[in-house]
Amino acid sequence: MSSVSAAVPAPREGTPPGIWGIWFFVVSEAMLFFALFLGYFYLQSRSTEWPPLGAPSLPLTSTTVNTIFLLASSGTMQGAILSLRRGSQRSLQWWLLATLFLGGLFLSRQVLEYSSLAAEGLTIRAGAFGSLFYTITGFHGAHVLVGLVGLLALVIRAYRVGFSPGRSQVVEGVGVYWHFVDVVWIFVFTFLYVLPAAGIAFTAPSLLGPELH
Amino acid sequence: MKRVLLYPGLVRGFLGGLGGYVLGIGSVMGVRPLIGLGPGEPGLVITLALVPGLVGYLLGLGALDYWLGWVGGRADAEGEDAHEAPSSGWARYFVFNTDHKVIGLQYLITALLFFLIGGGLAETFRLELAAPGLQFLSLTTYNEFISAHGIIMLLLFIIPSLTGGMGNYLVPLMIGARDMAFPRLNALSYWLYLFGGLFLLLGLVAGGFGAGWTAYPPLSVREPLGQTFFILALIVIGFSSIFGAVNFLATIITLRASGMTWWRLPLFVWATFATAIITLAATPALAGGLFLLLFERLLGTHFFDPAQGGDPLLWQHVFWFYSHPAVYIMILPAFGIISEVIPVFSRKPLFGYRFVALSSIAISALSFSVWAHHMFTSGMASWLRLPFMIMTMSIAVPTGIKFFSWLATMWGGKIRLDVPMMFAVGFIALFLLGGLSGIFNAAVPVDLHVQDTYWVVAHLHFVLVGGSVMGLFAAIYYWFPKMTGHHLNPTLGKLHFWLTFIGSAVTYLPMHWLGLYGMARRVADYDPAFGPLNFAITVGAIILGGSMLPFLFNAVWSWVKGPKAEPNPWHALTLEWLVSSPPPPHNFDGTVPQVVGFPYDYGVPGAQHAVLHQASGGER
Amino acid sequence: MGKRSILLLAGALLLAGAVGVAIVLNIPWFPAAAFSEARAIGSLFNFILVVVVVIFVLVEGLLVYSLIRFRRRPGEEEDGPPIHGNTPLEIAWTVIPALIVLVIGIYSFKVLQDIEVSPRSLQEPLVVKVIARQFAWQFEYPEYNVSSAELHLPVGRSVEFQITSMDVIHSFWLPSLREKMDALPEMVTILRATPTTPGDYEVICAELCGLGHAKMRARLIVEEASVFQIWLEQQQAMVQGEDTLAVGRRLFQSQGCSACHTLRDAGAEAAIGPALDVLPETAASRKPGMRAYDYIRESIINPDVYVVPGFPAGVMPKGFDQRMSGAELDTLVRYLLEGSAAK
Repeated sequence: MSSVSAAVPAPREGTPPGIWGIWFFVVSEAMLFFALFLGYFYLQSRSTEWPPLGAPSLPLTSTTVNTIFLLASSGTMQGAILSLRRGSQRSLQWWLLATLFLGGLFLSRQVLEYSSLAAEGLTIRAGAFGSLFYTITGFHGAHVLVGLVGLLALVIRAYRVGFSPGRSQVVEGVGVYWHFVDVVWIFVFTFLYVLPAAGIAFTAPSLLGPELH
Repeated sequence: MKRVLLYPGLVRGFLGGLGGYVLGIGSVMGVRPLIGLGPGEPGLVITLALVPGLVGYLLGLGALDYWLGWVGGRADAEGEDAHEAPSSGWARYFVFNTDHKVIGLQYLITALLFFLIGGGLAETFRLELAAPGLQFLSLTTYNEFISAHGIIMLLLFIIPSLTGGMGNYLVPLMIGARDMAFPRLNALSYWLYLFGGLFLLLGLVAGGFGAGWTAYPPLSVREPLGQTFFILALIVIGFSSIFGAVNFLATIITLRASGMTWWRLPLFVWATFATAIITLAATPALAGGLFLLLFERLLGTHFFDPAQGGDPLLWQHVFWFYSHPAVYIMILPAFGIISEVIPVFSRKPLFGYRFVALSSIAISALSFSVWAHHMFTSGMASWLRLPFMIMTMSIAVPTGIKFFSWLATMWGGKIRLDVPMMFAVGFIALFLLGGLSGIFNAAVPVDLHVQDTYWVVAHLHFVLVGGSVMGLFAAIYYWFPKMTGHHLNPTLGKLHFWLTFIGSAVTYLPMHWLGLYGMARRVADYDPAFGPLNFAITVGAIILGGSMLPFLFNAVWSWVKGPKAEPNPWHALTLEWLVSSPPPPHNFDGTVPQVVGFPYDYGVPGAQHAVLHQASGGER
Repeated sequence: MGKRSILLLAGALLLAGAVGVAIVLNIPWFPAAAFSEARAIGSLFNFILVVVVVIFVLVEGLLVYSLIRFRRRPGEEEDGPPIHGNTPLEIAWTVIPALIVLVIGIYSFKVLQDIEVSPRSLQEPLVVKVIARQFAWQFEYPEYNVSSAELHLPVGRSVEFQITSMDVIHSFWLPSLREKMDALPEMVTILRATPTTPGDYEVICAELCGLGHAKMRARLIVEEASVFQIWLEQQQAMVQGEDTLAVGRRLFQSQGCSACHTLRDAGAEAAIGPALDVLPETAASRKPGMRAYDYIRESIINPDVYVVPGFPAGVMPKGFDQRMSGAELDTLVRYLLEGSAAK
């Protein structure tokens, strides 16, 4: 197996391809959530009442706590990146573990929230509102899960062989992705939890489509 | 035999996929009863088992070997490495090979095989439509055939052949790179595409899907199991496209040879760049929409059910938000190809290079603001139609720039009508018709009549056959010597061209009149008064199908026995012609490309686009 | 390239353009028009057609001319002149097409206003509810309490179609109007038109709606107001005076059953679903222990409970128990069981 890379170009200053790549990928992912949010607001605009009558209100307080956990995990991730740049393998391991833990905590609390909401009657089949809620938060959760798999891979490698000190395209790439997942959550939280709780809704049933029967 | 099975590649990939699938189905149907659920309906089981199926497939292929090894600490991922698998002989095309030239040909040949399947479906239902009444297809089969024809041609043939095939093969060569930025991701894109394509074909036998390639709910929610295959296949192919787009963007931005400034970039590279932007930004919307449709079928969600607060128009918005830009994904690379071919065979510089390059970017930007022109008759709020009409018409402007630039390039040149140039000229002649009928479609009052009729069928086929397919063939005839090291037979090529050109005109021209006169699209039967024209269309379709015979024979025969090709048979300037035919494994082995000038300086005495320096010691 | 040959080329292109325009304007592009809106759309179409033909002749003409005039002669080895561009020319071919599409856009907007927004008639429009289902059309006239499988319209009075669907998306296309509008479930879309020319025209479904899509057609009859009035009265009288069998036959037709089934008595000859002429003999034996009456009733309301071998499930639309009253359903079942075979 040759050790000379086929892809590394004649030495070139600036952002390496891997970082460009992860950023483009994140832009693409952002478009996915953009489409989901547009769908959310589109169906909201087609309704007369949002959230629909009878839908249980979403738990704002416990979700705020969960939001803080997730945002904190962005901080620990950045800690991991900085420790690697400093060359400290030990603190890299700890920061990665902390990130993994916070992400896992977020996800398990999300699952608990699902089960209590389902007990209150809000299921994925409970009208368009239920479908949107579970789909959008579920998509976000799936992204957290993918991030956790990436983090787990970093942790395993960090413990088995460690990373060469300095900048690592892989660690920083996972970092960019993880920050992205957090930023998306801020939008999810605002659009799905905060705005309805504040009584802000955009409803105009015949602005964009035909009248309902 | 044992060696073939154990070797990471196609066979092991399929076995792995099958194993993963069996495991997945078994565990889904085994676990569900344990938690008090039924074994699950087939669509749900198929969907849940897709993940282990896909993982098994990739493990079998060896696509994950490197990363698993990296996690375990065996390799260093900081430098990408390629070419671990067989790098010569036919075997390299059947394994997880990371050479962009191998991947390009894998894409191209797979896409052409899907083209034959999609074409076969079209020939079959054209024979059915040769006379009014039902001859030999049932109504159900007819709907399944038109749906499969549409989706196969668009997503399994045109996009993968132009972007995956031509883009992969040419972009690194043209910019002077050794490979793509992420060779492993590149290979992954191809193998995901193959998986998605075969999965879609599986859907044809597993109940079929008959809601058209557009899959509008509620119809697509009520379709049989095959529709679930359709959705899953498209999601997998979507991932493949997105990975490809990420790769092209990173490659074009970071791996250009020294001296290759943006204003020296060949126009095919510009076009691929613009295409990748569209793919990157639009495809996720489709993937999101497909997931919603999947949930609607499997989980009983209500996104598209107006009785429960949903709206079927939501699907149309999301679908066209991707699928209209996708039209430009299909045509921009062809524009790029034509911009490469015309200067070489006119022996003149491309006229107005910067306008042509920027018009690609303008088209990709505008393409995101026109989607609802597919929905003028959908019941969408009527005030929305005006802005979408204006934006749609404005796309005529950058497209016009390209046409006039090509004509001006030919004007006063020394035109050589070799086969690639014939296809390029055919492209201009036929695509023009598709572009012009598009102006009618954009005008809302006319669209109220022509929407969903044969007029639209004519329009889109002039765009896609007259445009994308003609462009693809121009590219194949132009770069075949580079890719294979052999010349194609020009006589058979000319026969292929004339059959394609005449076949297209006979097939698609009469459709305009049929549509205006009252023939809706996607119908298995029609007014007997339309019989004679439909018969003529079927004759045209047979000519078009027949055009593939000289082409296939020519391609296969020439690849094996054709006369050897020199490095630069067309006397072109761009970088791929500076290396041998076919190029060496790392494209510029032993040399370093240095770009020194404009790529289309034909007629300028002593002009050079690039030179190859001997590599200094450190470089391989 | 001399001035003379440029002039010659321009003249030839002009001539070809004129000939092209003359030809395309004399092709009968459209079927007969029945509504006033069709004329406005036709004029817009012709306007765009003229513009497009001129562009077509210009581009194809220049292409063919270049291929002949600038073809490399045998023995010629040198390249063409290295002209890289001409900025004023490039700006011209950016601006001129922009102006052309702007003009087309403005004209289109005006036509759209004319056919959709401006009032055509001072009197109240005739409201026709258009109900689409797989694979038949039903037209209701709430004003007159009439329901029909044929669309009848009086000349001179503008119509408002209130379009809806019972199942999937369909599209209500009147080629004689040059307009269509999708029929969506649970929603009402609107199309307005003014019939002007009596005649026999077509209603076509233009959106793929399942396997019977190609067969989903109905007649449109535009007639003088007096004839329309007679038709309305006939329909009303039929409803009042008809015996049970006639009511059953009418329900069979107006509910769209004829679109998929064969039943000689009702003049239905379609073959998407099972033929119903033999129903009186087969109905009792389809499901063991179930009476023929109950079987037929169940098959109408919930067609997938028992599917006749050789036919696909999930094709027959549901919801007939919502579209018909219990008494109507009973009448239809009796008609299928007794009436149709009695003859």
